[in-house]
Amino acid sequence: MKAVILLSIGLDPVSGRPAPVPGEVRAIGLARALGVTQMIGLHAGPASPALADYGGYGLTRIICLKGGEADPVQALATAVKTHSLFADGEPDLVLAASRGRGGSDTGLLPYQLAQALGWPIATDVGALIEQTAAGQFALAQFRARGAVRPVSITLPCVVTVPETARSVPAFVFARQRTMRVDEVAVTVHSVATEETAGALRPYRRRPKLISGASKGNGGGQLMVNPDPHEAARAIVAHLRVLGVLPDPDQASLPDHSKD
Amino acid sequence: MGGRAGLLASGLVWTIAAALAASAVPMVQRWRKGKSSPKDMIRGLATVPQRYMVDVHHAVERRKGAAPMHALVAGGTLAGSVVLAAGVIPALRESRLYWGGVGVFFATAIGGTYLVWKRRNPKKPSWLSGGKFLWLPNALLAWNLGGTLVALVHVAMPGKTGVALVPLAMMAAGGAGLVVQVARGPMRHAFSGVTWLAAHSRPERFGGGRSTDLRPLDLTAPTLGALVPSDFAWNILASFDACIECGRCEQHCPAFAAGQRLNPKALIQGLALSARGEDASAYTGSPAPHAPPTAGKGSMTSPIIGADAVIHPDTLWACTTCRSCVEQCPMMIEHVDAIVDLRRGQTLMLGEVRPGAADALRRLRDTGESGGRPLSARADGLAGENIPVLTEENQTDVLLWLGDGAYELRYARTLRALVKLLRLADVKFAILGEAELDCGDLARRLGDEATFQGLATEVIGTLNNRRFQRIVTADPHALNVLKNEYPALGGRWEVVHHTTFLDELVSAGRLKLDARDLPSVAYHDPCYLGRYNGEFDAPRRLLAAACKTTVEMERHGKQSMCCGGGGGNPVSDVDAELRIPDIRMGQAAEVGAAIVAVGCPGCTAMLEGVPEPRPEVKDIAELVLEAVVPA
Repeated sequence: MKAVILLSIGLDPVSGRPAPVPGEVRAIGLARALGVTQMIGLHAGPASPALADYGGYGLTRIICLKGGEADPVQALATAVKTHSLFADGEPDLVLAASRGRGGSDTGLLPYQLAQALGWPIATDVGALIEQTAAGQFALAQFRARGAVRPVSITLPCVVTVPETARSVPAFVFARQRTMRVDEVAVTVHSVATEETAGALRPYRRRPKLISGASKGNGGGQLMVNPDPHEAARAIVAHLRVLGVLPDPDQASLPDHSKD
Repeated sequence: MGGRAGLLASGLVWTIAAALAASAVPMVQRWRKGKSSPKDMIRGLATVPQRYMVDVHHAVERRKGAAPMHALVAGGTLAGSVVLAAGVIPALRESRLYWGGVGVFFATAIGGTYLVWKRRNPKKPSWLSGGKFLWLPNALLAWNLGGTLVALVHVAMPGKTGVALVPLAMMAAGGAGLVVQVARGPMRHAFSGVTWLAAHSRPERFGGGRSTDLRPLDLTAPTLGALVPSDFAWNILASFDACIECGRCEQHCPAFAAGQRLNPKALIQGLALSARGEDASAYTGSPAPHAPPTAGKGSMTSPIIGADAVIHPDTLWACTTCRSCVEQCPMMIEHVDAIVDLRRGQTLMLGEVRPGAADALRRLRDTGESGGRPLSARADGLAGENIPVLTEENQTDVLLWLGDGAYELRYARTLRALVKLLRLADVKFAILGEAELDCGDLARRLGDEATFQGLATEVIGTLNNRRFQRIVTADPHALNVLKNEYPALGGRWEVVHHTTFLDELVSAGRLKLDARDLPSVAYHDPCYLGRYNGEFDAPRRLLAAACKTTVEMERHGKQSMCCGGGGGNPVSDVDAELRIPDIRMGQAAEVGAAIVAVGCPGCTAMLEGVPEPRPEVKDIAELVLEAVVPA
């Protein structure tokens, strides 16, 4: 199995010094866990000494697409699809960090790249659960507040890896010494795509649905061993009072509480 | 008179000598498989008598009874044998005086042999090894008693020396035993010890000198550090064979005392066994406490460290690099160098460090600070003091190097005391502010030489762009790196510890102290100030000037005990039975100390972490500030 790890040149948020991006480091570890045998780091832009540390984490080769920074999505997509990164065909997997570190990165890039490649994307993948079949994996998607949700992917696909992933590879200086960084000049024909940039609108605070709880009417009512239907009706009525559920006359969904 | 029996006896000595010489050949061949390290052996061997009689002797005589035992047994056996070897000259064999001399020497050796036997009888002390050591006195007795009797026959019955054939047979048996002891047993230290003393890796240590800096590693070498025995230099391999398993390192090792998985003696024996291709089970002394047993059989080219090799990885990370073992070793073995070489191999070649250490090293690489904290926050604890920052434009007399202890509010308190003293003495000083990176001490002790050299290059670059007279630091670890280890990388400045500097101010009359009547104060020598840098007196002078009652703990000065905070030990997730600082504070309480004076942020943190009731912990700077008399 072959994988490409997308590398942005990150800055450490505390010191401002160039440092490997945690998500990208963990992407290398996740690729290992998925059974990747060949791995190449890919960076849209000129080579930089800041990439050196990735060798210690296990990349043996990095290709920098000089000139690709003009349109990174196109440059990366072209490299993945047509550039002979690997001697025997396209990669099976593209891994990126879920989050950059103030370098040449953008949160949209993995999605745009997946779109350009026509591949599915799995985001915030923190761990491998199991391989379900050849080219199919069950992965753990790490969500907010420690929630973990299983997702399944079929290769080829794009995977983004969060900073919280557990797959931190060991840093080995001896490997860093042997890493090769190749700079390849590419020309991107920035077609002025009529890309819908999405509708711009002013920021609007989303309503806090549960905030009604603080508005008077105390802590609800205590029911001991209630009839299930009665209990459900009480919960729905309470949620209506809080404003979490719309009033019955405005509800567009059928109200099952009366069934 | 002096017939065939006498000639046979001298011949026997020559035969045994030849056998001993032959037994050294495989050993030398094995050493030669190590890395080359050119040594002038002629000059080295010429220094051996001096090194042996002075440096080795000083260490040996620290254990009661050890020096007389060696003098009697080694002196008597060697002298008797050498004189007997001279018996090939017929004229000597004719002389009763000659045989009398032979007899006296051998009889002396019998006394020594008794002392050798007595060491392990009736009960072997835990720090000594068993195995072949247990029948060494038998071989010595057979040789020396045989020699005495041969001489006696020649003195008492000059006409019937044929009787001497019986003790001669006894001698032959003893001699054969001694050959086995030298070739395959503990007595190999007789040959390897001499070789190691002649080709020592730190010759500066002899004659009371000091050499404690870790040597820079060529980061382009194919193998970094040591993974297999042949990665060590040949003389280092000889040093492992020179270990006589006396167990002084074990008795003084703080990690061993705390039940951490390290026994320096077992470690050195593990290295020697690896190189000799023997099983780990051939070692007969105390093991590293609680270390999982390793089944491995070593060879010159198989890994030393590993659960299935000879030395368990846990052993390697338990060392605090306090150099107590090195200080105690009568064979002047460099345990810490060996440990750091092994750590370098594990860290740089395999990335096999403990998770906590891996995190700290990653933060050092990414942020230049082992805690990943902002460099600008280092001086937050000194915010109220308005200390000037030294830039490329201005200059100062004293550059105050804060070190990573400064992030802690406890140590900031010490630094505030120091700053107040400097102001009272009218010293012009400044700090580096955000430009101060970690000095790299932690990375280097953990074997990450690449990160160390990266940080060191940056720090040296910064310091070489600043104008100051000298550096003062309250952190002995930073002191050691800046003063002893940066010169090899191109950074040379005068660096002094804050206690040395304050002592100068006091003796120059710039600070006046009035000794306070405190409950008794004991000074805890930081390893990196005392053993590493030889500074024992200035802190004690300061303390005596600041406090009326001072006491010494049993372990102090060169024999002082570590606080447990060095060598990356605290970040290496080390398993232990006890905590080293608890043991140390127990030693302070034993001498009735109510206050323990410290001079290192590591020691402050470790010793203050001991639960109460315990003596109070105060930095010397704090005690001095309390005793200062305003001008």
